[in-house]
Amino acid sequence: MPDSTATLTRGAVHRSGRGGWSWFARRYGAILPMAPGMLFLVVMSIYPTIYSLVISLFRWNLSDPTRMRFGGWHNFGLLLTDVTFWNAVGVTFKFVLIAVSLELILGLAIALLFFQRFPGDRFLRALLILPMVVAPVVVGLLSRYMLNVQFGIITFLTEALGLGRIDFFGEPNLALGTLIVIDIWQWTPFMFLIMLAALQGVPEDIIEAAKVDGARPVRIFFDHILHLIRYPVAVAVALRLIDAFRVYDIIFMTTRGGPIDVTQTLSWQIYDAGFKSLDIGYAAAYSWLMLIIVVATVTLVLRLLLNEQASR
Amino acid sequence: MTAYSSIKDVTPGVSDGKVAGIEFAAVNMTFADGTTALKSLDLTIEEGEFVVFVGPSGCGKSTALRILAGLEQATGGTVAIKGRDVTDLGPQQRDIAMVFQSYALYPHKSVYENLAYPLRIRGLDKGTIETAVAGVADLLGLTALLKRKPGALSGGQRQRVAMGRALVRNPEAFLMDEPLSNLDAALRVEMRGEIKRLHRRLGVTTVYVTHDQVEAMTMGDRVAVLRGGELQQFDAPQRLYEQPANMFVASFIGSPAINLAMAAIGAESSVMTLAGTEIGLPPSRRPEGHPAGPVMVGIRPEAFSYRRDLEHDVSLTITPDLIESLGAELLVHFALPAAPVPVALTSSAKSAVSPIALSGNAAEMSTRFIAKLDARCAYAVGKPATVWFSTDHLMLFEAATGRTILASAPMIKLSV
Repeated sequence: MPDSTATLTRGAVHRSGRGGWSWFARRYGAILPMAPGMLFLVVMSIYPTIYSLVISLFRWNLSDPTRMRFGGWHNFGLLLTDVTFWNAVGVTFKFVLIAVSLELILGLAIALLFFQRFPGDRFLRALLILPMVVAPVVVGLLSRYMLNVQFGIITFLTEALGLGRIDFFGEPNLALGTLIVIDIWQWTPFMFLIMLAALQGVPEDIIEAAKVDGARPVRIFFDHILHLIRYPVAVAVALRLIDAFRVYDIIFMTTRGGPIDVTQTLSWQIYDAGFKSLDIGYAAAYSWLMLIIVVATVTLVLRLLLNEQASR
Repeated sequence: MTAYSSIKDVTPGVSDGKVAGIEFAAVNMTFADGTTALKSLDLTIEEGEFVVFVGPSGCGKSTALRILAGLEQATGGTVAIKGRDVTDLGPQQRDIAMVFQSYALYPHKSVYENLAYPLRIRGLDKGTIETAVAGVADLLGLTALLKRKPGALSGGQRQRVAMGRALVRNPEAFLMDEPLSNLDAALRVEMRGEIKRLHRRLGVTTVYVTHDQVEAMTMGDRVAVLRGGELQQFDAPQRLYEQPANMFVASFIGSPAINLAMAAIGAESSVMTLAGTEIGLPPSRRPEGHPAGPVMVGIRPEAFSYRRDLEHDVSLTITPDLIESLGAELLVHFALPAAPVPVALTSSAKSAVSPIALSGNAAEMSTRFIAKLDARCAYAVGKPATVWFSTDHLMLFEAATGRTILASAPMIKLSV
């Protein structure tokens, strides 16, 4: 028996030995259909990423594009001692953490509301999702007009309510908060959708078992539902974190980083350094630092969400 | 109780001064889509009794249990547990424990936490919970598994945890919704015995839902047979077997299923014609007052014998077309030249018409019969032979409704 097996194996090796079209097709055939996609990825993604890392090590300002000097960690050192960088980190974190956590809580609350069927729920659900389909630039433009201190509809309302004219984008104490509210308006529907899907995935018998065991709805929510939906919650939070870190369109359409520096987020600062000061090397270093911050934050939050729950 | 006690104090569950464990009174259930799951269910379960709800799928047995648990709101009627009207109470206020078919263990909690959960909800102190959980874990052999999550347990172990979660507090009643249907056959038989022993030990009223008539027969003190939302019969297992209220119960209980065929009662009720043979009926089997004409006759496979004796004195000449050996017994299949009964009245989904009859002479109707005979008989396929049965074992049902004709039937004696 072992003899025949050996023969068979040897035969197989012989047949699949080098040489011949069939051998080539078997070994490299898969590359052919994959090539266009791979090429696209290399050209559009991998090359720019590596290139940005390379230029982050150079002192290079586009106002004098021919003068490109290697600076090593120069740009990074400059950044880490830059007060505006740390300000941007603070602003971004404030924006991201407040906006995303409020979106999560609101989204989950609305999803719980919609989890029970009621007449007209489908129509209302469709209405709720609308903000999500509006382009952020349009949202920024709309809010700029609606909140305009001279002629905005909101100003009209605050005056009618006796609150006077409020300059939502011009008041340093209000500007970031206003941006957060706009972000919440636009992205809570996303959280709502995922939370609703997550709730619908919770096995009904577990809820029923908890009821029979004597648990009341609030207890059931905190004891079971929250644990059972933690994976969808983690995915939604991660997506929203990454997205919120990049916030740019609304700022561009409204505050443009102001007043003073209260809405200068990381991505705004990168835009500022790269396309206003044309300091490309510095902007590239900036974006690499931002990438590290985003990845670190998302990892940390995911670990908190998943591990803490699992160990309980 | 004073003479002026309210109706609520008196009506539900109080009869002969004894408090019923559970009482369904005219319970109706119609779902939003219009399907009727229960039609005026009246059922009184004694305190400490083990009652099985059995029936084919869609018969309303699970709905009845869910209404009892408070997971479903009945559209009519009342439910009482230990004399307390619980119709409008949520599951939390009913003090019942339930074992789900899927076990419904909390996947994110350890076995210990699963068992402790009902006690934690009740706000018991840590020491009491630990003692109670340890006791139940010991009883069910779960002590070594307490730290594991349900995902790391086998099906049988999960089933035990689900049982344990129900046992850990002392509820007024245990409800079990097909708790063994996800286990393999051997484990199912083992757990069947274990549940019965636990019940005997704890004496808590138990309602057990199953579609398996063997489970129902072996476990229930009494068995409620349901069909299409209607209670067919609520009786001790032996009485279900011997005195089925109608043809549905007769065909649902027993394995292999009862043999059913059309027969005719003569002008005198003492004579019946089955498959062209005139059979004299003993006094106990005479359908007194029944007009001459068609009836449906049922003979249990166990009622046949391969030899004539004092009891088995009516013979049928048969030609076995299939013989299955069970070891001690043989299942002898044969076709009887008698018209089959309407399928709608039986529990069988398939046609009772013999395929041989269909393929052969269509005019000559025949019905498939099975006789369970002692293995010592020397029957062979295709060789004509004689089987004997006792007229004392006959069951007669009305041709139109399938209801039993005989008021009370004597105890059947198994022929083998």
